[in-house]
Amino acid sequence: MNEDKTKDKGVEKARIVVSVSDINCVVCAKAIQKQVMKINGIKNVEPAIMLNKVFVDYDPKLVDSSTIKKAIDKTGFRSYMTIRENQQSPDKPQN
Amino acid sequence: MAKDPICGMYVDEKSAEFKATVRGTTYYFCSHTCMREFLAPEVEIRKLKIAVAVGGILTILIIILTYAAFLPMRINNYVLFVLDTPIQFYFGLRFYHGTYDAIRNRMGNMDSLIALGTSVAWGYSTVVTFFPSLLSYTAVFYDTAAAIVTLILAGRYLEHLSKGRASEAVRKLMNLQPKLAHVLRNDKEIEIPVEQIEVGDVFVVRPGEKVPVDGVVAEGHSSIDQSMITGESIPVEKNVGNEVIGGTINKTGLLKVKATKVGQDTTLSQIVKLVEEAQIGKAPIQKIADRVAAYFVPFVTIVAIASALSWYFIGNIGLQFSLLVFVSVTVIACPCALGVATPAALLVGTSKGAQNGILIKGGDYLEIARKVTAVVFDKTGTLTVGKPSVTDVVPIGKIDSDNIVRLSASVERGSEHPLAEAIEKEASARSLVVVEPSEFEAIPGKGVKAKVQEKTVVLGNRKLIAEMSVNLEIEEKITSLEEEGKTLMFLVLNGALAGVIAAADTLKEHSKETIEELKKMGIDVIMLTGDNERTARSIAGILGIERVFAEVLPQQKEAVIQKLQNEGKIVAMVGDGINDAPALAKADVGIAIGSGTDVAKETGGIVLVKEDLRDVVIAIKLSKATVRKIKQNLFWAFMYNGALIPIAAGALVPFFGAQVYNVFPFLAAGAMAFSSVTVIINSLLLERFKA
Repeated sequence: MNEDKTKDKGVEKARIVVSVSDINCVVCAKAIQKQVMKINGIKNVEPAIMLNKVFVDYDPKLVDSSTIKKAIDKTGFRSYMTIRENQQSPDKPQN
Repeated sequence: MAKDPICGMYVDEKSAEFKATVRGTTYYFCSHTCMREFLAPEVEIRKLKIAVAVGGILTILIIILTYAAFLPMRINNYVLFVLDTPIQFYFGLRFYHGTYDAIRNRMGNMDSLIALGTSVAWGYSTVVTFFPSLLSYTAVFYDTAAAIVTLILAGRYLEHLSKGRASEAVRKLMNLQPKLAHVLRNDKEIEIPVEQIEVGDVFVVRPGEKVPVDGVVAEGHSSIDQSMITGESIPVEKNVGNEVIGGTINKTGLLKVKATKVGQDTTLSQIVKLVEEAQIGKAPIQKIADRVAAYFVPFVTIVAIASALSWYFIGNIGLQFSLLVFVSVTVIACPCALGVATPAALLVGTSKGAQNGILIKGGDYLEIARKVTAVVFDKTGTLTVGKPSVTDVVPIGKIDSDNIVRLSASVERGSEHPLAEAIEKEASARSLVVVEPSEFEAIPGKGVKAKVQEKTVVLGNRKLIAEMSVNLEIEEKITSLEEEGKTLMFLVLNGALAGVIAAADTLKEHSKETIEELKKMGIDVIMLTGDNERTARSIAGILGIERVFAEVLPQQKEAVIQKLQNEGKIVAMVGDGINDAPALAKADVGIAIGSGTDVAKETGGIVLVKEDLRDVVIAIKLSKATVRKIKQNLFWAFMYNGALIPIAAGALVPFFGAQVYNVFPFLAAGAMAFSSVTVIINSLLLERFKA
């Protein structure tokens, strides 16, 4: 579950929601999950097929959102929009 | 000013160069890149539409030429090759792209199966067309390849549309928030985008306008239609100090509101977030489906190869038949339907809940909620209003009941004690004039004493009259009121008992109805309270609750839930999310009631926005309906895949002969193309759920 999104053992956790061009099958969703999970600092990756979104929990000290975006793009999907939430890092929203 | 939906920049509508209208709403963009990104899904739908239309025409031509065969065989084959090849490699390019990605990710996907099946059909036909001498067969399968690609594309197109419909409910919620707000800055009203409102800003909402963000009324009064957030159909009166929710509609008066929650923190944003996040808290049922899906592609490929080889070498039916079997198997199988079975129903179900002020935090809660066998209600504040109100006024002697209330209210004037508030409320309900007392004095452990209009008035508890002589009739009356669980206050006037005021916590409007309904559903109803046994029993008696846990300290509530769980019950606990938080967390499903604007802070798997107990019943019913849909969906998905694979592999041969398989790939493609669409459309039927 996604309850403990605040702090866990002093490690910071942030969540980013990435919209992805049509995820039309579970297997593709799994591919995204696998690819993003490879990155150091990623806690959890949950694709939501119906919303065409991927929820990524990560440690903002170790990874930034553009690395995550790149990893998703690498699977052949186009991630075209990012929504930030629960961010503890002070970086500004992209323009 | 409008906001660029991609980068969030503010764009002036008048001078905006880049704009696009999608389903009735015009969006403005800062740059071409942003616009292109935003339109990507739309472009995709349009592309699919064109592919289906053009591919469809070509496919029909191919089928006519294949079966009418009025041209000489060799020439006919060349024509078919020319017609099919663009379908295979232009419209079907996406399948090769997908296959490439699949190989890179070392995971088989649907695209790879389709690319494999159609490539075999196209490749074989091409060999026959150009090198007829290589094989002893002359038949080609351009029609099969073309029909598969076109049907699958048609399926994807419909899937796109239906998926859009399913996620529309979430989008509808987001669109409730107005784009602009009138904010007061330096006493001047200015119009700014909603995103720029800051906490503490005061904004103006005129009748007919939507409240931009959550806030507290600072000036004015009005009634507000909150149906879009809470599901309650009757507008709610708002006065100074009342909370208003962003997205609701101001009906009658002008309001000045001080913003308390903006941006991601507004109730509306939180609701949308909860509905979206419910998609990722995986229901156990879905985990199984996902695991099956992961092994699907390799499994299907093996089945396809094995059955083709068996028919060729063991069945000896021939190369053509084996080929058709191979194509049928690769094309019929689709884990997609399995993949969307749960999320589609879940999305429609949770959105439906959100529209009615019922927020379900995840698929797992939904799945347990339908199995609940016992519902535990906290008494105070949940079944009852939580504040005492005056129920009986007993005058003794010549005095009338209005005077008792008036004098009592005067003595208690200004006190913030809940009982004092109850009396004050009663006084204003009776439109009595309360006067300022003098010589006010507290009598410790007993009550208060004051002079009201030259009379010495004392108001207090039982101890106050302990040494007074009270006649038997009155004594009996007092005892019976006490047995009803009421709190009594005694009014002593010039040294003699003049009246008794009884106050009790009153039931909420729909408590009884809700409990009856739950019992009808075969669910045990249990009451939990910190109050004394007598009060608890009396309320339980009125409501028809047999099992009561009274005098339970807040920290013991959890243990009571545990006890019920040990009895083998699946327990739902209904209470307020703050005081009952541990018990809510302990229960199989915690239902936090009356959260108002604090939807995010609440503990519990289900959050009820409004204070209407009937929503408990609706939540359980909705969870039943949604899980029923999920099961239907999974049934269809397994049917499409499980049952049709053996048939595609040749199981029909003993019954209908090998001939059936000449057309079977078409059926297979059709089945696959529409499997996910069936599942999504079936889920959309949940929208008809009546709350």
